[in-house]
Amino acid sequence: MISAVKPESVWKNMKKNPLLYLMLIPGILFFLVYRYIPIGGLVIAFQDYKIHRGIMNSDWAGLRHFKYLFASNDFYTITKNTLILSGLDLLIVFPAAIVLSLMLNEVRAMAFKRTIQSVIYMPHFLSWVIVGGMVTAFLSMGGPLNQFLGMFGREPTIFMQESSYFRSIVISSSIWKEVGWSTIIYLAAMSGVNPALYEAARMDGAGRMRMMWNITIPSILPTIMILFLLRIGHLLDLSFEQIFVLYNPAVYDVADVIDTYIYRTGIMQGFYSYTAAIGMFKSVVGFVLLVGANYMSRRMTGSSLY
Amino acid sequence: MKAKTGVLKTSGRHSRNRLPDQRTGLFEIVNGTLLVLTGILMLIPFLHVLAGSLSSEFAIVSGKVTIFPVDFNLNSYRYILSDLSLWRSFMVTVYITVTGVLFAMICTILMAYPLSKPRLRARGGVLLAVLFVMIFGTPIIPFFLAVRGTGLLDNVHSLVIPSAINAFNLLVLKSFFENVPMELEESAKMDGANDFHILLRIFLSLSKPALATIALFYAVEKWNSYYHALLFISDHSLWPLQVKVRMLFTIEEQAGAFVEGIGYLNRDGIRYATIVFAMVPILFVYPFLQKHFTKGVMLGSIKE
Repeated sequence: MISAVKPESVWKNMKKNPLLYLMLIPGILFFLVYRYIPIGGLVIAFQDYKIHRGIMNSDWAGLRHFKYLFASNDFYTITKNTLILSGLDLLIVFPAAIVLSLMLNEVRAMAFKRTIQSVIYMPHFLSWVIVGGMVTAFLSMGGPLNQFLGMFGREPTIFMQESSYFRSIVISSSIWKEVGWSTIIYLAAMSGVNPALYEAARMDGAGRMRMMWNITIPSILPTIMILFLLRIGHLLDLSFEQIFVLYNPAVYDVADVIDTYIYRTGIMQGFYSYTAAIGMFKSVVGFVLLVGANYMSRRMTGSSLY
Repeated sequence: MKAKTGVLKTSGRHSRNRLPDQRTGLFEIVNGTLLVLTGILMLIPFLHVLAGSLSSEFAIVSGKVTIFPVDFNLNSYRYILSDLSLWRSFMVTVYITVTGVLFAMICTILMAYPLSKPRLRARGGVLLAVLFVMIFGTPIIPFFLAVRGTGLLDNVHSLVIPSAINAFNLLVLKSFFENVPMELEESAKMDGANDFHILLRIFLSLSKPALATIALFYAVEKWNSYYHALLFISDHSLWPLQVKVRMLFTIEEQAGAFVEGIGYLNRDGIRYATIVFAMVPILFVYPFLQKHFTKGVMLGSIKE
């Protein structure tokens, strides 16, 4: 684009810094082949893509896949499930991290604080496969949860097979794996608060809760806002791996989300064009959400991502 | 992605928010107790899995195992450690992690360096392109077709090349490079060093902490990679650890294996031992991870 306006300038710049441009080549190739070609490859959503014919020779389908998609029940189920799980995440997991950060921030014994941090950061580094295995073990017929509930005389339940428990399982496992890790960024923001503010508040007789409410929380509000924006932009992106290791056909009615549906229908069954249409819907909605949320935030709070 | 607010800046932060003369009150006790409870709740699943892996099958099925082993024995471990296919998957993952981190680091460094230079005319355009990818994401079906098109299906390098550069890591390293003093570069230029020398001798040696952090980010990403392996690798002999572990959980025929010298094993004990087997390498490097990752999150939040 720039070269079209001032061709000689970029050319000169290249001649002056040949090595800089040389270094860019692997990265540019990577982004081109594995990031931009896939984005361009979304055109197969408008085709009857056949894998042996390729994009060039496949027939055009116009908007047929989109029409079919928007008329299908599957689409509403997976979109609804995605939005509900995302919404619960935003409503429960997101604030949980803030509350935990506030609690950690109030700890004065450094050794105690560090020990707690070491414990709660740990699950973040495990893969969803491992966490899924742990959850399954924990909730199995002979697992600790059934034992615990058995003490109150409850019959053992196979939690993983019941639709009514699936959302709670997803949210609890998210909290277990990521809530500790999410506190880091808030704790960093909190450590940037000027201690003079707390001192002045103390002079005025403010208690701990009051200072938390009137000093700490307002100071981390921009950080909260930015992380909130990022979450809004990814409202349709649940962790595929998390859902995939936790769900099973018995709970598809509440557990099947956009990404798992794309995987099963597209990759496993080969409906490439149809699932590319879903993917395109998802990417465009996500993009609009993020840009929109960013715009709103800049207007309302002054903080924005870009 | 730059935070205009500047509140994320870590500069000028204060390690102590409180006056030293405060006494321990009810607030501290309640808060501390809640945190201890949270910590214990976080640890219980670990302890349960560990206990299960060391217990007899009877104890597990009859629900006697909580966080202490019952009928202590090492049969489950004996069984899985003699499973050659598990070791093969382990080696595949080691290979993917080592090559993946090397390849990713080379690509990321080579791209971050020019992008940190304002004298690069194409800088703005390339950065915008990277930012767009970060926001728009990569649609999975065409991504799968691109990987297929480059001949990487059923090839372990499908877990190395198509995920070479993480845009977030790239931007973190770029902003780190931007903070290297200009004077160092200029004086090296006077001595006739070219950009390649400057990158190798000055930037890399000054950015060791950032490089270590990013390398660890990549290492955990590669070690834990599951989704991509699921998409690209169907050949059993090339399965990385995560796929193999997942298979051990889900395949029914795993139930009731009779092992000579050990006896009848039930699936649960093997599952528990497999979880521990896959978890140990991560827990082993956890102290490093914690130190560098925490720093990395801070690095990521420092924006100009």
